[in-house]
Amino acid sequence: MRRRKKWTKSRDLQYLVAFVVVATLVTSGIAYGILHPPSSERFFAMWILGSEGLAEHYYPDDDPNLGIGEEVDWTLGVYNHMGSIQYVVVRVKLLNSTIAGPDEVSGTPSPVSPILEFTRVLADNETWSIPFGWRIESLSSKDSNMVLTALSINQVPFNGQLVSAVSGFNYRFVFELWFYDGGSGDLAFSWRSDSFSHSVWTQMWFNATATD
Amino acid sequence: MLILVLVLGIGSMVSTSASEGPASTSEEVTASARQTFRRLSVVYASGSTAPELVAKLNGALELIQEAYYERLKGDEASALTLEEQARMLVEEVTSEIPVAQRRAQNESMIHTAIVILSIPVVVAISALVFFSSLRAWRWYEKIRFFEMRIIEKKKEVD
Repeated sequence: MRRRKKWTKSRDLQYLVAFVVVATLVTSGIAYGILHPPSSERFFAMWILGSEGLAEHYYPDDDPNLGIGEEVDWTLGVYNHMGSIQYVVVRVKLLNSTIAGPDEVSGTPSPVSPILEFTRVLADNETWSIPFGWRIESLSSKDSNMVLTALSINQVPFNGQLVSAVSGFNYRFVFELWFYDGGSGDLAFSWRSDSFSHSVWTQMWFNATATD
Repeated sequence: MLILVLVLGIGSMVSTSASEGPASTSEEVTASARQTFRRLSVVYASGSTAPELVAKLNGALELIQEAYYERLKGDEASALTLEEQARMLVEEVTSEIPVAQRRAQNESMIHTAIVILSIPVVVAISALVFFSSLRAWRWYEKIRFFEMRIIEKKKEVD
């Protein structure tokens, strides 16, 4: 009886040692996972919403043929999922259909200078909404082209030969997302991940054919 | 004639530097905001957060934006005032970063210590539970063994 008891005790001790070894390995694995969480896919997202905060009704009466003084209300959205805090700049450019836009494949931005920039520091998983209300203030015709000469964006006037388009068709606002790259110490338009170049931009087309 | 040329030359130099002044101020504030962001990102990279500093830096960036708008409207004085406010905010954030960095280091150290110390604690508690359960099972087996022996003895007596 005493021998059986001794045998049982030594077997229980073996079980206990095995349990402690397994528990230590499992707990250490969990602790490592907490201290070094696996990195998820890194990306930025950008979108434009219409006047009612939905992906519709982008223009008054849903008509992209805009007249002078017609108010257009958009909301730009930017989401940071880069896994870290980011310094982001949304560059607003005014183009026509023939001026080169951003190239996703090569990761190059449009060569046009921005007319306006919005800058903010975004924490990881943070979303930023930017109100973007604008209207055409003046247009002038030059041969068969229509030249946008004055715009108002968020009540701020922008004057000059902003952009021209044949017969006033196919103007576009291009919104490029730039971010501060600590490596180069400058703003960057694209980043590499999984040996692919990634960049974020979006655009909205409109026509402005009537000068009054 | 020479004096006139000199006066005009100095005058044009002064006007050039005055027209370059606001642009360089704006660029300087933007550059210092980016440097501040760079240092702030180190705090975040160590696993800590400093939302109050981020909010201040965003406030400075908004002021720079407003200064740009005022300049477009032709109000240079307001633009300069806003840029000065932005510069002060950026400096404030910069001065608070070392404290945030120290706090981040402490938080990171405490977090690591808690996680590492929790390993033996969790193992000890689970081992205790396991061993107690094992002992309880043995005790149950023993009771069942005696029970069987009592039944067998009863059968023998009958």
